Amino acid sequence: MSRLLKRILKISVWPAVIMIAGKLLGIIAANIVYKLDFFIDNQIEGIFTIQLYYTDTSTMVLVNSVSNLFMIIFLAVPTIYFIIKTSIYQSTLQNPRTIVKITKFNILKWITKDDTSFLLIFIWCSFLLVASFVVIAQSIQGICYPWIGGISAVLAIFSIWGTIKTYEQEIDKIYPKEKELY
Amino acid sequence: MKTKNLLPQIIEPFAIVALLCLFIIPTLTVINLSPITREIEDKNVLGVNTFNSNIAVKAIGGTHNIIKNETLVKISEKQYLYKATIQKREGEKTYSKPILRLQNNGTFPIKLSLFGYTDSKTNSRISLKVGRNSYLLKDFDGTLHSQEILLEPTSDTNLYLYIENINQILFPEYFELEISL
Repeated sequence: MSRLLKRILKISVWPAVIMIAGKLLGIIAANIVYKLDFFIDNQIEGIFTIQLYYTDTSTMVLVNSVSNLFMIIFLAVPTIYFIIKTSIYQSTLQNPRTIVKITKFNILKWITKDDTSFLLIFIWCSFLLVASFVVIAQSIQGICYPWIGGISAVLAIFSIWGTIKTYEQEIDKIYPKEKELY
Repeated sequence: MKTKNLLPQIIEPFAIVALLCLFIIPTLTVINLSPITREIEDKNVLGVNTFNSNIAVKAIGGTHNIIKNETLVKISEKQYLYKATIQKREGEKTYSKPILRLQNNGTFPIKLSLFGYTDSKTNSRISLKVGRNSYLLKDFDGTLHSQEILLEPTSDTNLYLYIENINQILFPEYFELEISL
């Protein structure tokens, strides 16, 4: 088995788990905070046989929106952290001012170890994109608040942009820009 | 003779499938975890739903000088909402119109709850009439009353809206009637 595949598999486990955990925690939190009544039932159709039910539409939309928000935040926070960390790390290699600023903010740990690869950011970004598409689709269907769909769209665009920037930085490592060589 | 280890090549396709599953399973789980709405079924001991499947609430419609813009909305299997505009009208007069047709096609009597209200506090008395029985919804002083009507099995009755007012009303009022099974 190739090393790349092994690494992808290893990295993909965490965002997959966090995606489901975020959604579940969101549902639990909404039920506890708003003291909601729900019931679980079996259904014969579909892939999964267990389904969560609410008796009125507004409650269902509320729970779905809160759980979607939790899921998106749970995926977006690490993704944004990895993107920022990589950007700062790359910036320190080119700009000494960044090192001074990092020392000021006492986050030197961020640049002492390059453990954030493009692959890691790419996979986290992919999961964030998948989750964002689900949330946007549900917002269009009217089963999630539109503003949560909007937040998801913004986060998805930001993570795509961050991934592209990281990719450019990785490419620059292999093929440095001519002006930086001299 | 040295044998080549083929295990990594055999495992590789399965690893790709596993990777795909890592993306597909969380997505499907998240979609499935999204809650949906459903009415709790009211079943009797025999498992036969006798609650409201035999009830029909229909708007009679037609034209009337005072009661206009009638609509009947089925909110759920158990709830209907009747809306109408009561136009400006003269004092010391009574106005009536058949508004709804209530049918019970089942073999059991069914109780209907009625609650009516207007958006303004005029000195009007609003009531409903079914046959000879009158059901007061809003009194002259603005007090609201909820009422219950028993629909006999295999019955077909018309519901009349009665409006009485002492003084002249110079503006239209919006009237809503909630019908719950």
